[in-house]
Amino acid sequence: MICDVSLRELFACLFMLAGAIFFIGSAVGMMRLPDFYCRVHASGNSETLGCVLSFIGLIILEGPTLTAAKIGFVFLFVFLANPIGSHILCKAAYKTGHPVWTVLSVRESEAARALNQEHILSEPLGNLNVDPREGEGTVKIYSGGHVSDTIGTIVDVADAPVIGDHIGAHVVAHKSFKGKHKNHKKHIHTKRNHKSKEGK
Amino acid sequence: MSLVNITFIILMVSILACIVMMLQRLFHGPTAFDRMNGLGVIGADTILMLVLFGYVDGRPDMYVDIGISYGMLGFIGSVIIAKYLGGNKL
Repeated sequence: MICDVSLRELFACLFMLAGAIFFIGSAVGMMRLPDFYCRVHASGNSETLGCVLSFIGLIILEGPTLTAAKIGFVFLFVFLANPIGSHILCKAAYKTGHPVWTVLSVRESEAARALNQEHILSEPLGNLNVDPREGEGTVKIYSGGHVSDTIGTIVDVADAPVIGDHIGAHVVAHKSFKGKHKNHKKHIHTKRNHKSKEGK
Repeated sequence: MSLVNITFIILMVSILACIVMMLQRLFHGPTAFDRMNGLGVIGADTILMLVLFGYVDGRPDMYVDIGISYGMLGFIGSVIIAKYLGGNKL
């Protein structure tokens, strides 16, 4: 069955199998990674490499013909355009204030546990829900039913577009917020949530 | 059932699995940016699937041309939607 295979076919099949492995790796990474920026990294890196290896395998299989030149053109196009698309998407998300997933340091996580605010450990920094009942412009952190203290007041609403429930707002943070954002203006992405107290 | 045919089948199955997982990201992605990322991945996978189908059918040169056109349209659309989501008025 696979006895009489030439050297060219063998190399082509090796390249294509390596490309298949990278495709599966990028798909698993897209499902499992915790944040949007991590997922864009997985799809832009591994996906492009899988495509490149598969196209090289196909070029080797085809031999020196016109079709191989066309496949080379497609390979060059995908190799250049896929990272460009990922970069523009990342830049757009960062400009509109998409929160970056971070892991708190040991001291901050111990402080959060001591103050009974463990919801901060799993919450991406920057997801704040605005409660209109407290008065206009107060900002608290909601997560799974836990409500933190008031951490700041809204100064003005930024020009960011409304995507779903998210708006952008400038927030001046109070000094008592565990020393993280000490009294400086910060462009924070808030969630416009008028219906329930529990946020996401 | 030569080695080349087996390799084609394995590659097609892996790309199909990748596309199905991207559909999951399309439906359950928490933000719009996640969905746009999934669409870009589906576009790149479709180009490769087109070229492989060309080999299975026996006419690779035609399907490669179709793949070039689809790739260009897909990437231009992806860039335009990303610029729109970033707040710039087009």
